[in-house]
Amino acid sequence: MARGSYQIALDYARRTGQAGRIVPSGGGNAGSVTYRFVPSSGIGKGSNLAQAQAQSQSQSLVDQYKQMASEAKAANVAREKEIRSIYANILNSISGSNASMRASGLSDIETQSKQLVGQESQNLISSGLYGTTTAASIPTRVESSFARPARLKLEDLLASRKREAQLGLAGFVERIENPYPDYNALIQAQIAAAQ
Amino acid sequence: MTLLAASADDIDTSDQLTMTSAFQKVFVANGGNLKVADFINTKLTTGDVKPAGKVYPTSGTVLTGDNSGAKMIVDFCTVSDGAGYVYGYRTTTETFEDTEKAEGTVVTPTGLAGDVSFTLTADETAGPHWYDWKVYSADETYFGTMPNKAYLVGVYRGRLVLAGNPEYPNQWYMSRVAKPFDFLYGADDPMSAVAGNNADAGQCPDIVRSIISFHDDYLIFGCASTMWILRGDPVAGGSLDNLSDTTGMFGSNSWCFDDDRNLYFWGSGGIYKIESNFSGITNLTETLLPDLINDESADPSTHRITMAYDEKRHGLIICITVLATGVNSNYFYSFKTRGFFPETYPEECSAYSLLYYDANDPDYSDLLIGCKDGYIRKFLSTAKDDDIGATDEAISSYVTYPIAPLAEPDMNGKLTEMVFDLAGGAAAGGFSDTDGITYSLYKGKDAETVLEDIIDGADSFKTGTLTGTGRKNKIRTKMRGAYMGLKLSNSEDSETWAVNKVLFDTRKAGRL
Repeated sequence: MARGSYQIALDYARRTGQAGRIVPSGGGNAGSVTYRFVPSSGIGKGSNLAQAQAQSQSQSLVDQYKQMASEAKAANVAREKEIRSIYANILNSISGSNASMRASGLSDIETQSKQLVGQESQNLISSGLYGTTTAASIPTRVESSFARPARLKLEDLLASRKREAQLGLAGFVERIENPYPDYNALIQAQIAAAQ
Repeated sequence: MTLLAASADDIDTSDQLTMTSAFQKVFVANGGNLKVADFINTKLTTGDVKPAGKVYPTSGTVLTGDNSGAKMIVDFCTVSDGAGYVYGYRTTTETFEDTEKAEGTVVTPTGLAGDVSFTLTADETAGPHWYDWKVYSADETYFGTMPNKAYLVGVYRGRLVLAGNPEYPNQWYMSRVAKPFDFLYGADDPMSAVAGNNADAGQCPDIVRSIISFHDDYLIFGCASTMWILRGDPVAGGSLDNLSDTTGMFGSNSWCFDDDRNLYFWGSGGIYKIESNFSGITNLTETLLPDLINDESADPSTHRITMAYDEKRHGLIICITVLATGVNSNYFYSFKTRGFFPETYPEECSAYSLLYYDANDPDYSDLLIGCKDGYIRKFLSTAKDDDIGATDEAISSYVTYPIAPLAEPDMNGKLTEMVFDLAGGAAAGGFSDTDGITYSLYKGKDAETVLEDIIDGADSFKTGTLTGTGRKNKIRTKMRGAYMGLKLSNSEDSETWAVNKVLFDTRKAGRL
């Protein structure tokens, strides 16, 4: 029995050479309508046994196909969920570690800034110039030459860690495919069953 | 000479004043009178330097006259808004004209960037100019603040250096490099203006009395009781080190360099020499004039000590002058004899400042003396009187020979004869001839009594006057005593003198 688009049903009717009509056979996925060819004489009105058997085999194939497709889709969805969950865990983990890394990094930067200010102050004392306005500008100079760039670098590092995971998730989502039923294979199987 | 008319009555000549030249200008530090004599710039006058929607021109902005096409590079602007003056170096033959607009674009600092367009209210004014030394456009946000007062000014590594601020006498101030109107301290760059003092960390700094820069190599801070040397730039890797913890400097003018780059100064214990390689400080008067400081009793608040190296006469001249009266006491330190020669000048001629002026023409090169009466004088070897203005004054001079024994210790001797050889060669000829010389002979039982008699002007054993040149006739004195003293002198108008040698003969004259 041809079930599918209107054109498929029509092609089927032509190939069998029977008189009949094409009728809607119910809703498909996402609201689409399928059609099937119904011979005008009707199966119950003197069709032979072979035809009935072929039809039965064809129906069996369709059912089998449907079942396999459904199982495969369910497996894919389950895998997608699992992978999404893994990515979510990774992102959560990165967010958490980023927070601690930020705190640690900022602390390191502050420590190093203090050391630099101290070193420069010591250098000024050694050079005898501690009593100048140059000494007062040391924190500003360390802030602009070291601390600020270091903080920007830290933020960039943290953002790149998160961005890497996000890009992985985006790549995964991009690679997800929703395979449509291979109607050609199905029809071929039906034809083979009908012969 | 030309008077800068605007400077008249704009400085206080009864107060301390120092000045230095830089960037084709003269910068004057006279307490609250911080002034600039500008010999390079052209002045523009405007009623509003910053019309609505425009910015005022910053240093380095190129202005163009919209009508004349004249161009100038801005150097200084007196205001940030409203009526004021813009000084700059005009680079065209065209001149800025009244009523035209001066236009340009400010690029830096970025906070002041924008278009400049202001209308001139007069034709440009050619230099020289005289104006107040203030921060650029009086904009403290971008150009900082200068001290209210300063008595010391110098130049070091392209920075104008100020010190001697009575409000903060231990502080020194330096402008941004090549920007004498920018005193924004602590800006985060190696050209930034900087202020500071001279002390180890946490120590109380000394009062700055003198700033002595030697090219761009080092700057010495002569303080009240210490001395410091700044090598390199204070904002770019320089160093400030102590030169002396025990010797200070008298004042802003009490120092000079010789032609070997050695530094001489009047310090806490006499006259010192710092070798050009800073290998040590030597007190030149420690043995020759051990009580010089007490003898002179110079006080920085009442006296001025000036020093200069006289290239022509190969020595130093040190002048100690009472500012109020002109009473003075001076020394010439001869590099040839390594001796000090005390001098006193007429009060009109007392030295307020000394400068060796080196001209291309040797006739115009000499040591110039800025005198109390307002004249600039120089030493003239051919002059036989001191020029005190409307009249001349006789030069009074004397030499006391070392006190000499006339016999063995604790014995009397007799001076039998003396022979004088006066300078000038023959009476005729090309050599300059001496004028008359008065000689005075003293005797005593001990050397100190003889010297005391000479200094006190006591009656001499014998006195006389010699005239003419060359060898004089023997003088037979028959002066008996243990020690003899000889003083040669001349205080006559229009006379100078010189002696080549004095010979004398003695013989024993028994016990004392």
